Amino acid sequence: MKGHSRFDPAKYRPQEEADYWLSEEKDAVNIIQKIAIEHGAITEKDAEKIRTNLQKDVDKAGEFAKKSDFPEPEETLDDVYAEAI
Amino acid sequence: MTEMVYREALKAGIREEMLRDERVFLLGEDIGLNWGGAFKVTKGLAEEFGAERVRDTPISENTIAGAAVGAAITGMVPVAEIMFGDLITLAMDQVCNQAAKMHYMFGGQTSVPLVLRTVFGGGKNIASHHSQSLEAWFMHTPGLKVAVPAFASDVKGLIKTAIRDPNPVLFAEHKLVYDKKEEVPDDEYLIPFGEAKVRREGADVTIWGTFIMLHKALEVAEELQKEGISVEVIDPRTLVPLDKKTLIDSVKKTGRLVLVTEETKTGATTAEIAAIVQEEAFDWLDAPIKRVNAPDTPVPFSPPLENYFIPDNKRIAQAVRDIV
Repeated sequence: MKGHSRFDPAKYRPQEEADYWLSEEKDAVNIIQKIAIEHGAITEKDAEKIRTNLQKDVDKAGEFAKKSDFPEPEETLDDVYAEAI
Repeated sequence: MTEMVYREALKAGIREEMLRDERVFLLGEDIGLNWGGAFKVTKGLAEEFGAERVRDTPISENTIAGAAVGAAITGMVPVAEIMFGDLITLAMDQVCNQAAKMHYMFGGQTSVPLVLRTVFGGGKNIASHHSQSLEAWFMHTPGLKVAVPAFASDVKGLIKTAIRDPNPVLFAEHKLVYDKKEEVPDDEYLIPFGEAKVRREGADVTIWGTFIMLHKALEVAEELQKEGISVEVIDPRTLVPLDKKTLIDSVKKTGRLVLVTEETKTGATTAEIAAIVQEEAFDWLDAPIKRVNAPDTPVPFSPPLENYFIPDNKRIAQAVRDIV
């Protein structure tokens, strides 16, 4: 459990409290995964695949961002309104 | 006189009022013990006055404002902090529908001596939810007063006036002025609302603006002086009440006006000022009024985009050159 941003070491929160909420039984993603498997919505294998793919997507997005040039200043004006399709 | 940064001058003003009047108390997110606020304005005050008078709240802007309104109408003098001005949207009902209207709707039988401090402005690459300049919304709301201090010597006198005012005051600060230094008087002083300050005298063009744009305008004025252009720079210090006279007198002298704020252009405070000047000083204008604002977009995050968004010295100087 991290602070509000990378500037926030979150010293105000006791380590045991953070550990408690990150534990196997309390982690929200683990809980919903357990429920989904119990209900037969996904298998253990599906869950593993979802995690692997998501991690890949995030890593790829991070790499893409690092490799990309900064946008052109005029791109400030783009995307304020959606265009009718 | 003592040289101090804006943040320290502001804190000194709050502290003096807390010492003077025990009804004055502070509330807001992370403003208290061991932290002192996201911008450290209240650092040390909880240690000095106790957690009862410097109250940490949960992330709950509507409740911060609502509790402050309730306290204000029942005999206290709350100084509430909204950590980022953008997040005041969550408190708008309390601020604009409750605090602003109560004195009027109760036929003057109650008043709301509330100060709501918050901070506007970009320049820190912290994206659209932490960078906006929304002061026009509050200028547009009858019943609120709006202070926009941009300099250390002003902020101390203005916060003291705000705390003593029997009306709700939106006290707007700016992220990039907290570290600006200035000589601040040692003795107690109050700055009345509705009195602009001529920050630099000039003969050819008047620049009216707010916050960090005033600091930029003063640099631009210095630069343009070398080209033989004499620029007058006016700081309104409060938007409500607004000192029209200082501005109109200046326009009558210079005949030219450039309005500079960091707000997005449409419906900004500068639009109102332009309308006032054309109503009241049209015959003295020798050129169209120029507005220098941000484009009508959310504040972008990426540094080159944010640099494009926020008016810089070059744009301000160009606007002046365009009309002289």
